[in-house]
Amino acid sequence: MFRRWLDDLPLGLAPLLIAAMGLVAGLYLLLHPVQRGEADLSMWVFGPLHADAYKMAAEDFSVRTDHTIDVQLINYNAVNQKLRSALWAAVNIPDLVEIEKSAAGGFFRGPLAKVGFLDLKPYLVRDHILDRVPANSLATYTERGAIFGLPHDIHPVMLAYRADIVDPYLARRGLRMEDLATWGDYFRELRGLCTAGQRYLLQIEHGDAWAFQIFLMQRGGGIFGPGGRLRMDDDTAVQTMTWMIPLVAESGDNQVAESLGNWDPSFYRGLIEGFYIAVLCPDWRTSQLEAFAGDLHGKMRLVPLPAATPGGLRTSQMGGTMLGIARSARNPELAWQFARQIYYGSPQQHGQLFRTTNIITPDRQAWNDPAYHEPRPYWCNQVLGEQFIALADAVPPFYSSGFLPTAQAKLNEAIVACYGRYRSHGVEGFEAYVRQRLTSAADYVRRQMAREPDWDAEE
Amino acid sequence: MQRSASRTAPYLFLSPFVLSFLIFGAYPIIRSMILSLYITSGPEAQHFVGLGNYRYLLQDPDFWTAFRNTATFAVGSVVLQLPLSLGLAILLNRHDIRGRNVFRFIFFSPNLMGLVFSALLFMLILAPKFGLLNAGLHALFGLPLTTRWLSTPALVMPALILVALWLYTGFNMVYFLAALQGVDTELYEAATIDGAGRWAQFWHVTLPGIKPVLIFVVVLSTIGSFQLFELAFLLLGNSSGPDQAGLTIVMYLYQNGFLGGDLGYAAAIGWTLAGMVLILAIVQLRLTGAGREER
Repeated sequence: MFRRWLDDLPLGLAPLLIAAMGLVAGLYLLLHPVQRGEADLSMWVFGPLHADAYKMAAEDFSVRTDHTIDVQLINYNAVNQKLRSALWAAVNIPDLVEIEKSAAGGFFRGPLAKVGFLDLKPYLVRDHILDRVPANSLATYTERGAIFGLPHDIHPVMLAYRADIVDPYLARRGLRMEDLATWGDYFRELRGLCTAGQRYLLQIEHGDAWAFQIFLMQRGGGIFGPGGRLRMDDDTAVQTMTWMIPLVAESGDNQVAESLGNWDPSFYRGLIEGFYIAVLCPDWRTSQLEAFAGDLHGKMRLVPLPAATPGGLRTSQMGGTMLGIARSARNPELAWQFARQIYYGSPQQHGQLFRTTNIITPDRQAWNDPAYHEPRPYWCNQVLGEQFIALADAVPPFYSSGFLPTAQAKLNEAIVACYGRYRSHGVEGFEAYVRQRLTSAADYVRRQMAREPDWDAEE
Repeated sequence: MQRSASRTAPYLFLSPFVLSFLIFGAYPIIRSMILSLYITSGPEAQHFVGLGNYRYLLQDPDFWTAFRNTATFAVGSVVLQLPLSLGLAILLNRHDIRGRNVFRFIFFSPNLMGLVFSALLFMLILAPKFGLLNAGLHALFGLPLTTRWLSTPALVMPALILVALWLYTGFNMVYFLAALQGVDTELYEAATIDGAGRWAQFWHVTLPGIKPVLIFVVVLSTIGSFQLFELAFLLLGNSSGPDQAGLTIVMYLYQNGFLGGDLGYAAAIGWTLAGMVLILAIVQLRLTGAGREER
């Protein structure tokens, strides 16, 4: 009878089995619903090393306060999307979350009262933490007077170079890397090491805005200024572009900078094989070099960036992470206590994080921890922590905006166009062209910004 | 009583579909249409602009860059992919090819790896200096090793088309194989007796025989190409590439809606894309006479 019934099924046995499996699975889920975390607070983190450190801190916090924290590791790209969806739908919003600096501005758009994060300024003032962190590191997360994020890091940029190639070359000429105070000195004195197609003096990607941003901030410029003012076409930007493009766009032996990619295996291979002898290197990148360019152990050194002009700034900034507390946090005070512990807690904790990530904390009180004063064999026994700490207060501010991705995309277009123009026409009329391209790029962003209603007035 | 029950029965049976369609199909469509009339910052902050988003879109150079890139990819993919797929299908439909099932599997297999894996694989293959493609071109033609496939604006689209070829040629081949197996073999015998050569057989027997599938594949490939997002996004490192050379319409929608938070403008882009795809599909169907045949 069952057989006959089966034969009568128009699509055969398979759909019946699929339907039965669906039914069983549905019933199981109905009877065993997924248990939501029982923790008092939830936290999303995108860095695996951060997650490990915070899980340990959460255990310690739990012992001290009897409150539990569920620290979840979420992929870097996913955390932004997941957070945006959670905030938009007001469902499953974490109490605390870490996001990357360039994505932060996007979360600060709209009416101030509807930004998904809590203004942390009152907490920072109340607990006297404002004085403990370099003011520049807070600029990124300050929007219309409110501080929506705690800076996890400062990320001063230094120059990491192949000491095994450069130092003997300079020694023969009676020089040291530390003597090269400006970019002009750097390219002039090391010119002899540069061979077209074989070896270059600096790694810079042709059509990528991130190196440009490093140079721009080093010269005191920026894509945005305080209060969200767009300044990507000011004189500083024009000068920076006019200076940077020829480094990669000159032909033959006059080209001194080149790249084989920024983050992929080719980048590391290029450095290992000496295709470029120096890279722009924020603190976090040093640990990546240690991990992915292990062959260079004992062959790399760090020096402050050569300045644009004599006496100019010897560092810049690249990357960053913030910690925000959601406006909807179940217990904001408790969330603040945990945030305070992991960001401005014990120096030993920061020291431990520095040993694994090479990232220096913005909390000055932690800088005395021994971890920041240990020589590192990978870096020719240089004391990495002290090197970066010495530059911490000089790091230029980075101002975020909800229009940062658009501005970066437009800047990227302008860089590519300027590169093409220099390759075809050389220096003739180049500065005027750079100014025109940057103005046109900025005008596009300004048009987009002009569409934005005055959200706070509408509220 | 029984009569009224039998009258309501069809509606009862239809109601699960109708309800789920209304909730998950019709409502989002109508909501997104309404949303496209607003500038938004997330779903809560909205500012009515009427058709302002559409007017801005038509003057937005980035949208036209995205359209140009997407159209280039669609034309490049369809024009190269379909003849290749058809050629492979004809070849692997022949009974005198040894191990043809193995070859069929090999050509189809790129589809079994996800887009993420494919993108990572091609990032390495296309890498300058150390990548397999540059090494091969250097060995064969002496071309420079440092060609930047993914960071030179003019090369980004050819690179994307190349990856799409690798991914989808085998997939479309399967459609053509199925269609070829449906062509009546007696027609070939009759054509041979009438003295038709291979080309004449292909033109007068094979092509008409597989025409419905061919039209289906052309329309599907075009629509798929216009929806290009993940492949370009992953291959270009979560960006639109140098000089926006890899910016596609869907990527532009994503950037505005999900990175910028302006869901209204993103909805306007989505509706414009839907209109474009609809017009394109109608034109293709008209040109190929597919509608006439069905009537």
